[in-house]
Amino acid sequence: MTLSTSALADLREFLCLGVSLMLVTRDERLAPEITRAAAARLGEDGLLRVALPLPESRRTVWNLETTPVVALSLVLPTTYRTLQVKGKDTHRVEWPGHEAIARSHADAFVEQVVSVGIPRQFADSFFSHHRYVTVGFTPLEIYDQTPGPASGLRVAP
Amino acid sequence: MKRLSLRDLPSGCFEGVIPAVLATCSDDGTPNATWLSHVFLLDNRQIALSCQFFRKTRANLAVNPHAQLLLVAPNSIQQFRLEIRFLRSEKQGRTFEVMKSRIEAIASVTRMDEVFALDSADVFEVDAISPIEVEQASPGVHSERGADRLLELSRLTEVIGSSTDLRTLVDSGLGFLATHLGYESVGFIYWKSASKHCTRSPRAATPPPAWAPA
Repeated sequence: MTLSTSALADLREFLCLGVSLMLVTRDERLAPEITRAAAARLGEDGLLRVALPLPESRRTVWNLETTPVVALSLVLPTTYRTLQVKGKDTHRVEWPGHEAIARSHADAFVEQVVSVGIPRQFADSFFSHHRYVTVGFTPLEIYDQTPGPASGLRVAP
Repeated sequence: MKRLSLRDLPSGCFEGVIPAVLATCSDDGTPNATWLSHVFLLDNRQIALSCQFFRKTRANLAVNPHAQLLLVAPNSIQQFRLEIRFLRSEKQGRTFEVMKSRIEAIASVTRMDEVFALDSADVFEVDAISPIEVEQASPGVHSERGADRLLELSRLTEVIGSSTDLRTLVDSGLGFLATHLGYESVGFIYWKSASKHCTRSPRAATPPPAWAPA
């Protein structure tokens, strides 16, 4: 089942707002691994591209070599709005210009976390900014995780 | 390398300032992430997590107790991955009551007291802790600022010590945090016994904030 056009448009817009990005993978023993992503964008081709910073994402990259299932959780710190996207076909992709997009996203993220009380001098320290592995996956399901009674409910498809 | 224990982690990791992230995995191999408002330190081997909106997480832990937790120390943004194992859920008792009161305080401050409600205190065994290695954009900046911040903290102590009344103490203290220590969003949290809620007063409140004695 494919996601609706409106759900994808909402996700595409939300990804650009300076959200905090957490990508979860797992190994062959079903042990999960969390890493912060530096940026993620949903292309018009339907592929959700994610920039994974190194060195902290090494094990995530290793997991993806054998198990391409992922969960990407996005939260906007100033509003608590949270979405989670699931995918099963994650693979390495070319993402031209991803360094500039990652820098731009980091700047927006810094403004978000400073607004909720993180000192500016530390706000750019959540993830590395020098080297990235770029992966992509097709969004299959989207869940609303915003705190409240609807948290955990599927919003699409 | 020294094996880290819970007592080695900065205390800020357990103060609920920056949300933690819990990752679980279902028996069909689908990972899941959820955000936590608070992680509670029980002893040197166990933590308790606040189960509030854990639909998928609860189902996953029932079939696969192995999970991972990402913690952040708010004063340094040091981050840690904890390999944890679900033991049990508690719906009453001391741990549950302490967690409930703290979550109510956080929820009140964030104006989400209608939304946050503790369902259970979920107890986990911590099997391993590893610091997350992040390459800094400008190496060395933090350590240099560390010395500056100690000096500024000393001056903050002087500001607080020279205050002659509560209003001056709070206003000058919060103002100093913003102007000298770089905090762009600071506030004073106080307990209103009449309504049994915490309230957050913004920096440099004028007219006098609600906490000021009449």
